[in-house]
Amino acid sequence: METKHKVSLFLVSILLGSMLTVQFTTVHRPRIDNKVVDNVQMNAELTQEKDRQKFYYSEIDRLEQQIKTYENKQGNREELVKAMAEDLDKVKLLAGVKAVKGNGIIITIEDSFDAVAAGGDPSKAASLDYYLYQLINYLNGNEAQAVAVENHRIVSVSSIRSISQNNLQVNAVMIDPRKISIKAVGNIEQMKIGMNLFPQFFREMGKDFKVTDVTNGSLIIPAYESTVDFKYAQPEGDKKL
Amino acid sequence: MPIKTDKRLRLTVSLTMISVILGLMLSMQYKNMRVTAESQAKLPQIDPKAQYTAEQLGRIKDENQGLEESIEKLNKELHSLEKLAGNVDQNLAPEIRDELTKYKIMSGLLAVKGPGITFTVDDNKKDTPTDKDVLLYITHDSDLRMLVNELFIAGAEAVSINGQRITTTTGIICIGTVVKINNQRVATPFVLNAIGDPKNMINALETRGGVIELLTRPENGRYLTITPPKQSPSITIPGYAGDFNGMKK
Repeated sequence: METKHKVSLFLVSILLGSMLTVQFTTVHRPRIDNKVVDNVQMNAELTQEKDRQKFYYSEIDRLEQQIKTYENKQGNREELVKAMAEDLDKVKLLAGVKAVKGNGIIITIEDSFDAVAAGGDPSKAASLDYYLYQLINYLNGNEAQAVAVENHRIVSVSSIRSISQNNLQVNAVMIDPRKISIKAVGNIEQMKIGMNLFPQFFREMGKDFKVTDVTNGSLIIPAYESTVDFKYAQPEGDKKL
Repeated sequence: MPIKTDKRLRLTVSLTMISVILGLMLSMQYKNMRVTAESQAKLPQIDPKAQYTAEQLGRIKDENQGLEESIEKLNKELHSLEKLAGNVDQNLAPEIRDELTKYKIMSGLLAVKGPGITFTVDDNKKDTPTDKDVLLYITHDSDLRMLVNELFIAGAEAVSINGQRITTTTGIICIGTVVKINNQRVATPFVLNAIGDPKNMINALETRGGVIELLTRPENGRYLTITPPKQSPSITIPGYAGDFNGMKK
């Protein structure tokens, strides 16, 4: 009788162990592949990638052409210098060290009694730098081609910092934070869509946020003026500049 | 006799307990199977068109990555030729050559190498407590921009996030759950590389009350995971192959 019970117990334990194993290995959550589900989003992405590809092919053509030009003009000193000067002009534009002109917007952010009366709190202006670089970030993410804060051009190495309530640094230059003008050349409608949340952020600091369109192509964004010296970043294989 | 009864009782209790557990597991298994079956039934059917788009998208992304590499190679080749050309006219060309190199670094056209730092920013993967906002646990575009701004204040000369070079026209924008940098989707974890004075950059990031504390400390209301910035004698940051928001078109 005792042996019979022991055998039963042994068999039941084995069954229990097997079931536990099955339980742990078979139960899993169903996985939804969003990439497949969201066809609309994928189509939009596909269009963007196709545009990007078109640009990349044209860029490869342009670079190959430029390389040929340099190779062909190796013996012609004047032509070679001319080709380099032309290239330099284009590169300066992309680096932001050349002024640009075009359509765009002028944003004015200034201290406002009305905004304070409506509940804006000037003590929140301690985060002015944060909202300014986020605003510029959103302009760039929405097709801005060139941006300047109080005529200080924003470039790749630019930074913005609040030093105190009355001092703000843009590209390490002090500006008066009580009234700030931001100019941006680019796609006007897209830039406006991109910054639609920002007027509220600045009003909460007791500041007015006004936007003026410039559609006659006359908006000038000045060149970056500070000295640039690359001490650490060098093209691979190059010696220090 | 009492001994025998006691043994029998123990065996009966054991068998009863095992049977109860067995019964519970059977019912759990049955329930789980039903839940799984119901979830599968609720899953949207895979549209063949969507499947095709996904395949096309994957292919074109791979091709574009290859094209970006070709552009980087050509830019390198061009830079070598410009260096050679700089020797042809000792009065003018060296100056143009050096300016070309400098502004190609500044614009982000050229891949660069140098000492710097690297660190990773990630969402907090632990379960969000029910009383907390999940948004405090995930990485936002504004967090990345804050870190980039801090690096440039500390003298960074070139910065990249997941291989995307920060340029004059770079936007770091959240669209839904996706972060786009230079108009390209990037996903967590975000690896930030910066070339510049490593000590300056690390001090700026790790200073008391600094940006890393702001983004990771519960007392500041944020819970991101940021690895300690690591110094490296040689960091490579790729060049930017894009169109600068249409400026190059």
